[in-house]
Parts: sequence; C-alpha cells; structure tokens
Amino acid sequence: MNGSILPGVLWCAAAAAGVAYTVLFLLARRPAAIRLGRVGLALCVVLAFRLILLGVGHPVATVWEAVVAGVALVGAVGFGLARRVWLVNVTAEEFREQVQMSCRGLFLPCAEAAPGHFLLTAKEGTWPLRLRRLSRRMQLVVGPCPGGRGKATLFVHWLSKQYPGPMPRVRIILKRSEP
Amino acid sequence: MTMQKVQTSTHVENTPEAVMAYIADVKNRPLYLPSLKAVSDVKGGPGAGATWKWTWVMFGAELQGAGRCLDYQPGKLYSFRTEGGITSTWTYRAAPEGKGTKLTIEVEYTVPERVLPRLRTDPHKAEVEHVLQNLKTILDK
Repeated sequence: MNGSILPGVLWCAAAAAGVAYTVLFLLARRPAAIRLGRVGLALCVVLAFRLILLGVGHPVATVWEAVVAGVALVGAVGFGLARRVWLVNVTAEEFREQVQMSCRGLFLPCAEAAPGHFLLTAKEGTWPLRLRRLSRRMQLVVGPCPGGRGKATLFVHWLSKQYPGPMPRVRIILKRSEP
Repeated sequence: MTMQKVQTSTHVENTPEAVMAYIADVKNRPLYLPSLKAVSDVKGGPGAGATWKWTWVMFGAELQGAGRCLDYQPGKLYSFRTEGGITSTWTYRAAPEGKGTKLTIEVEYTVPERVLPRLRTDPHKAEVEHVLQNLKTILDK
C-alpha cells in the first residue's frame, strides 16, 4: 500500500456525489436541471481539494489515480466550455410553451426559425436558444449567454428559477396569521 | 416586531397606464422579482380582493404564502399584501414624468426585533432596487 487513503476517499466521495446528483435528477418529480457549467465547477472543487492533498504530502501514487485526475480535469474544462448546456426534465411541448410565455411577459421577441431553434431578439442583440429532445421527458437545452442586465439576462434568470438543481429543497408553507 | 419601510423610484420610458397594467398582472411577477419563483392559483382580476399563492426562494429553501391585492387604480397605483408568517405591503405608484413615467415602489414589512441588529444591509432594499431596475429593462420603449 503506497500513500494514504485520503485521495481514494476524495475520489470515491466525488463519484458518489455525482451518482447521487444524477439519480436525484432522474427521479425528480418537480422541474429540475443539470447545468453542465455547475458540474464543471464541482469538478474544479474536487481537483482543488486534490491539489491541497498534493501540497500536504499525498502524491499521485498510481496510474489509475493519474487517469482519474486527468479525466476530471478534461471534464472540468469540457463542462466549463459547455456551460450553456442544460439537461431539463420536461417535455419539449411544455418547455416551448414556457419559453413563449416568458418571452411574451418580457416583451422579448422569440422566433422559432426551425423546430427547437429559437432566436431571442432584444435591443442589446440576438441570442440563440436550442432545444433538442433526448427522450419524452428529457431535453437538452443550449441557452443564451447574455451579459449585462438586458431582457435576455432576465430570461436566463427566470429559467434558472424554474429549473433549479435536483437537490431536494426545504419547503415552508406559511400559514395565514390573520383571522 | 418592528415595521420597516423601503422606498425607491426610477423613470420608465412608457406610459403610466402600460406600466401599471404590467405590474397589476400577477403572472408577470416572477419575471422581474428576483427571489419570486412562481405565482399560482390566481383568483379574481387585477383589482382589490384578487388573491394568489406565491413561492419565494431564499437560502435554497422555498417559502410558500399567499398574496392579496389591496388597491388598483389603472395608471396610478397598485398595492398588494403578502399574508402569513411574512407580512409585507408593496405599493407601486406611477405618475407622468416627461414622456414617460416616474415609478415609485414602497415596501413596508415587519421584522422580528431580535433580528434587526443582525441585518447589516437591508435585504428588502436590494430586492426592491433590483425589481425597479428589472421593470425599467422590461418596460422601457
């Protein structure tokens, strides 16, 4: 046995968290999304922890660990580059209806040039929004990535609220205190 | 409980009628209120007495409560109150200003006294300023 078990524990914990996150998403009954950018960020955190372990005297001891670290690094970069990609658990029709409803509410012209190819046009510019069906209740969405505080940014904020991550949320129902 | 008040204004390049009609439509609210996830079960028109349920996201938790419209004067005023454990009254006022509208939001809310000294910055103030900025983004012609 070479080195400590800490790096192994780190990789196992990261893998378990990834599996749990995916299972929660697949089983989620409420609208939820996996945003690849956030997965990339999580991988960066894991890699940062591994670097800390490296710094305190836990070297990469096996070829397998080097491969795992390499895959994690490539994943972090790849998911970071694909940060506009979301997986959402909704039917294409429901998603389309929601997009059109919110664009109407924002006075944000939204044209569907071809099925699943939307163009959002605001004063600040035009942004594409792609919708690709993976299964009946699973869509791949490539969202717009606007900067600033324009209507397209409001659209992305709204989308984030409608499709949060799959982690269960505490729900507090406030009862009316007045008679 | 201590009553707190936040008030802020901006200029919107649109008519007072259009501004207040947009604000009075409850279904538009999640589009410009940063922490409001959804409204549902809307009953009644935009006038006084209309009710709805809301879902507010805070620190990863979802708070659900009810709202009630207190007053609606097209082109001039819209006011509603959130009911339940968190009580707040939101009043939107519109007045002609140049070719547009001066839009003012006033929020009154209660905070438990023991919490007050811990609030370094007023979270409602930031939220209200954000709402105003978002409304300007949406409604400016």
